[in-house]
Amino acid sequence: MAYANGIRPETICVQGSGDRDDQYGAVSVPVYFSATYAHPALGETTGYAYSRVNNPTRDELQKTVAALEKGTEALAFSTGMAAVTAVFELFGTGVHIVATDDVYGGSVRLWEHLGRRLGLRVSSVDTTDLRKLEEAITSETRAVFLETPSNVC
Amino acid sequence: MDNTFLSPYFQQPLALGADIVIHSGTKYLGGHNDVLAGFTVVKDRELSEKLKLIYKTTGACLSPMDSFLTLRGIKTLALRMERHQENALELALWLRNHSRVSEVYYIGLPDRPDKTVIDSQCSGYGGMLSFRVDSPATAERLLKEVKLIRFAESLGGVESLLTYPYRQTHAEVPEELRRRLGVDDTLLRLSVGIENIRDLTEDLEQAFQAAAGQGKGNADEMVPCAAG
Repeated sequence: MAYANGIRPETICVQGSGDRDDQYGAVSVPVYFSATYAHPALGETTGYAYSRVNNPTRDELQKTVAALEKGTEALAFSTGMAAVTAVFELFGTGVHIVATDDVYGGSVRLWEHLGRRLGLRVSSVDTTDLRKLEEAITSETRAVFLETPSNVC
Repeated sequence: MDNTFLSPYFQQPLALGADIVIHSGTKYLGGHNDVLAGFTVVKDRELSEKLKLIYKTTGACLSPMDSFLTLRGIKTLALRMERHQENALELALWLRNHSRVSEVYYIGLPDRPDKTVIDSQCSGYGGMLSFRVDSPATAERLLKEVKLIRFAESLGGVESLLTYPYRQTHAEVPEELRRRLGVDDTLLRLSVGIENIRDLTEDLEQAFQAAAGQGKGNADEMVPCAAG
């Protein structure tokens, strides 16, 4: 990082992660269209091997989003639904999830689709009511899936 | 925790105790309706390693060009969110006073019953609102009559978009649940853009008037659609 921690959100938006290692001093992040990366020698790496796994342009985006969200790591997916799908892949088969009752319809479609295939059960709950939320959580519950503010507000 | 509606500029769920944040980066992060993207963000290293394994195995990664476009969008996230919010609050108040509107839902309205909870979670209210009109026919006519505002799915871009949740975003939700949530055929969702607020209210007003039949017969005098 070229600048100190504690930098403010507006500045993170503009300046990104703060990495300043471009060899030409480019102020705008270069777009690395390379699908693959040459290795200096066997057992040596530039840090990159194949763009599905990582890519310098995407890395900068991921670091920027992680910094804005006060997280340690972000992953950039091709769509929002791909990100939701990856999270549901974490949970495995036969699990129970509690979800906000007015989530985006695309998320509902995903777990109806996965539900049939993976034995996933999702309880839709009015999560503004903490008592209802507590009652919905069982020993098989792996996660609570929230939108706040929820879709349609 | 899906943080798409407020963006990290107004809310940081990881700091509130969430383990995973999800985004549709297509919305406020990209901000210009010109790129599709999604994000997961975590704070726990072990969780991060699990997600990275799924990521590299399943392959739904963001392309370099789309990564660049999203980065460029984020540069103005703070400015855009402030303006989205300013316009949304004004529009919410304007809609609330409109005779054809029965209810307005916007988390930035100062008299909301859940204001304490809202203010404990976020530092701003964003640009998403929804409103209920007097009949399904009015809703349908508004979708047809708006000129500057576009009738389209998605949200969070600089352009204002009007959506019909009953038939679009919530079409997959079972009917019984939609009724319970109030997602019916009189509800419209507006993603308030960063245009001049007077152009937005004027567009809505002419659409309401056309919906009421007052605009009939004036087709030749209508201003061409400013948004193309």
